[in-house]
Amino acid sequence: MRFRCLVGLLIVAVSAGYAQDTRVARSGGKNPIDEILDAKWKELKIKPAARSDDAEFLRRVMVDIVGTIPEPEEVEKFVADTDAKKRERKIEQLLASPDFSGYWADRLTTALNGYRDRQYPTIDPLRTWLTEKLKAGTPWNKIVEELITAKGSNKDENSTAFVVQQIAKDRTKQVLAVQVSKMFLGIQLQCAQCHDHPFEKWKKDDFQSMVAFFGATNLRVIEKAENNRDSEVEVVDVPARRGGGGGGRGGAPGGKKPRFIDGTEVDPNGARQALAKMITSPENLQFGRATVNRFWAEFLGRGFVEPIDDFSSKNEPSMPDLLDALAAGFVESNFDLKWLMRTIANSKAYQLSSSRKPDQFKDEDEAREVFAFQIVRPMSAEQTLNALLTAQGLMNLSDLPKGRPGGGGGGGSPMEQAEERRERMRRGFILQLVLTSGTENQVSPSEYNASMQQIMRQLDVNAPIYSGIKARGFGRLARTLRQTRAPEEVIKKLYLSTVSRPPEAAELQSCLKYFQEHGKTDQAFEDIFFVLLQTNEFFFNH
Amino acid sequence: MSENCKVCFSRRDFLQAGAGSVAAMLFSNYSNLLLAQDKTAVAARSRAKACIVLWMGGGPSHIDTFDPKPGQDTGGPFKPLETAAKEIQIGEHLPRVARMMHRISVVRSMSHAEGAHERATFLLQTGHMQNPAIDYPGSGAIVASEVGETLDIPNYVAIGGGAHGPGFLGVDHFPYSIGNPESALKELQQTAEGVKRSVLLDELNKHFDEGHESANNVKRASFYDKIRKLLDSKFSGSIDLSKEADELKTEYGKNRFGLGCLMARRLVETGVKFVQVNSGGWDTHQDNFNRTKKNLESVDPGFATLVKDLDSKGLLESTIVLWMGEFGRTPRINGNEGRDHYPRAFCAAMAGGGIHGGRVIGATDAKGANVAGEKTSVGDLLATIYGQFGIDLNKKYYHPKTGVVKITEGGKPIKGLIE
Repeated sequence: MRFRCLVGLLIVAVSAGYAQDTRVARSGGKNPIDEILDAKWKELKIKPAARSDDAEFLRRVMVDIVGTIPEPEEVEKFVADTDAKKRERKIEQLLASPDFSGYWADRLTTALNGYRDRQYPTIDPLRTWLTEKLKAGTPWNKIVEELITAKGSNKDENSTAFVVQQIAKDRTKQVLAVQVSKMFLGIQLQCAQCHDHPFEKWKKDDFQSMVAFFGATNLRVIEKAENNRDSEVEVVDVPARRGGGGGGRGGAPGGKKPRFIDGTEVDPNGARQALAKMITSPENLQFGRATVNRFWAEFLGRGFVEPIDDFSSKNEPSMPDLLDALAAGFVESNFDLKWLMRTIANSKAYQLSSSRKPDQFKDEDEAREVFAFQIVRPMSAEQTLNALLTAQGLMNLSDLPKGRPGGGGGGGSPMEQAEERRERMRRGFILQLVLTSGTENQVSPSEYNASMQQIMRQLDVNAPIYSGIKARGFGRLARTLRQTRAPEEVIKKLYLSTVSRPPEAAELQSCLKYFQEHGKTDQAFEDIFFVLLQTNEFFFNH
Repeated sequence: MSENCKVCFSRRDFLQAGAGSVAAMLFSNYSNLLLAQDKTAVAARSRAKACIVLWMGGGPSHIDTFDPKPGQDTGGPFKPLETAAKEIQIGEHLPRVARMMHRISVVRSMSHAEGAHERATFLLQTGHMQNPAIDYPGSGAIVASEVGETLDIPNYVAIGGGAHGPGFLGVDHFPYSIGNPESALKELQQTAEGVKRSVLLDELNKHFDEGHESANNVKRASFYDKIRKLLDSKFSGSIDLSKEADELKTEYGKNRFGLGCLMARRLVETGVKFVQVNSGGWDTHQDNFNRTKKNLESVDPGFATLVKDLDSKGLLESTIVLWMGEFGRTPRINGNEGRDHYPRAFCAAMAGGGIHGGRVIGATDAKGANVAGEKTSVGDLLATIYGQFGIDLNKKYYHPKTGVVKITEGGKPIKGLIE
């Protein structure tokens, strides 16, 4: 589903999406982000960067909202569009597109469960479940509540995938408690230095008291399979025995009672449900802050708090008033992720250019801190993969010639087999990207991390991920060459497909020179295409 | 950050302190100087220049390998074998290692409390218990960062699988991983294909980089330089096994693990500081004896020949070879002829780099169920390695989230092992 052609969907989405309310806040009027940042820039006498141009905006907003870059035709169409409201309209289209739920299910699955199954399959079920929830527009607080309180068989209830994964990692449930606190409260409970912020009654043993919420929660094997991975397990709450904390294996050490970080103690029976209520309650602004901070970082390259899940008295947010205003707006919107993304994407700050002159800002760190320009940041593994596929024209399988993807035995239609093959390749690629970059546990995406190995793998032009750069077959270059062989035209198309803009004169010259020096062969086109896929401009979100 | 911590700051501590790359670049000349002094001091204290870990993933039974218990109900069917070290008997399926035992010592008193693979592997490969707040570096990354002389070639290499990453030490110390030793060179050469085009890449990056100055761009471009350097370096020669005689390959066992051992020797000759050669399939809950026998037959020639080969080249005295897995296996044989996880008592074997050969450290009781006498911790084992490299065992790192992080949790070098 994720790979369906964006262009097609967007056309459908126009009619559905544009009619919707495009106001950024329920109170209507000015975007709260603009109000606060305008004042801040004025106060600091900072002149923000110029507004992004249309091509720059389109690429960024697509990478951020649906996780991939635009098709070349889409760039041209958007740039040519004269409607003054085309940016707002585009944002609505993207939020309404099925790629939105697919992409965010991917990203959130990674944040919640990481990239690899522990013991039982959880990544796929969680992604499926989140896709459905996001598609249905379920409020984020409801999604979180269901994740924390999920019960039942892992084969029947995909919502259990989060809890199953955390308990499979660590039967003492410390990992579960840590992950819940980091993801949904943005705090690192286990960190001894954290105290009395953001909650007043912080105590040293609050970590164990947090773990105690899950004291009764365990995995029980319903049906053991020969391969343990295939076993059916269920998430159960074993009622507490008299006089103790939670029952079952790995109850909280020291028999601690479940106690929330604001000091509220609850009965061990039903503790998990109580915890979910307390976390997601509109009264608990920290839930809103943690959520806003995470998504802000996705869109602006860095959070108000960095690392994004480490709120503490030693790590105050950079723009607390803006963070709180957005958090309050998010709660008021009934925890609507689309409200949050819409508000951010329509803001002036989000639409600033990432391009700037060397001495444009007196103090560049300060300017960065108040989001006076867009930050160049690496794309996530998911975005990189999608961008590579889109650039090579491999995003939409129905483009493939009939019968082409088939071959080989196995069931399913040729299309299904091709989907399956690509799904395998996709997973292999993401794992490889992540595991060779050391970013498996990276929560803040702003800094580029790569190992030599990762770059080496990217440079392997024979890797399956580059199958679409070939001059023959069905990739972008092959299709372009069937339409035109004029080198200028081909190079222009490759530029639009990769960096979502036409080449500058000097760039066109460099490419033409390379083409001529390499015998004007198809191979030379392939080289140029490959090099474009390796450029910083392609590789980073900006 | 406390005062006494400041003194032990190295360049990397500084980078990790979150000062950011721009500041780091400004200071880089100065800190390189510090780095050089640091390294000279470390080198002066060192006996070891390199370490090769032979990693038995899944956890090999101590009783079926280096701690046989003949005549006990826990002993299993394997017979004990006399070795080149008079006092030492080991399991019968390590015949070639047995002939090298005058160079190898066994620690039979290893013990820890982590019964799950992931957590135990973390402990053995970092010296620390898993803590969700701290991304601890693998010991290979610690050694690489402390004693590595250059970043132009990888100082930390994993063969036949991965090894624990660099954690907070940063991606410069990420292990270079080689899947199949026989195709390692080919993989690097394929990269060369892409690098050829990178002249055009430099040109096409120009326009964007000018308007988008960022540390990320600089860093990414630097990797291409690194790869260009790597291709021309002695490193790419060292991963070419075609330069070795077939006879020697056969002696190494000519299997993936054995060839990995041979490549490890070549890498160490080139100056690589830490190599982990992986062997898998040791998680023998079922059919332990057949599977362990098979595993041992594949590991025996590689391990033995590595020690012998290093010795004959005069490299053994400066190269530690450490054989270990994440834990041992239960003395009790389960209903499936298997043995289960057992961290309470297990063993490791060690040679070279100023480590005595032919000694036994510690012991388990008659059935191999408990350590008799003093236990040896994972921290002790890793401190022994760090100590042989001359690394300061009181070294502390500054971690931006949690403050000071110790190099090991109070591990002390195992006295009886050190020459």
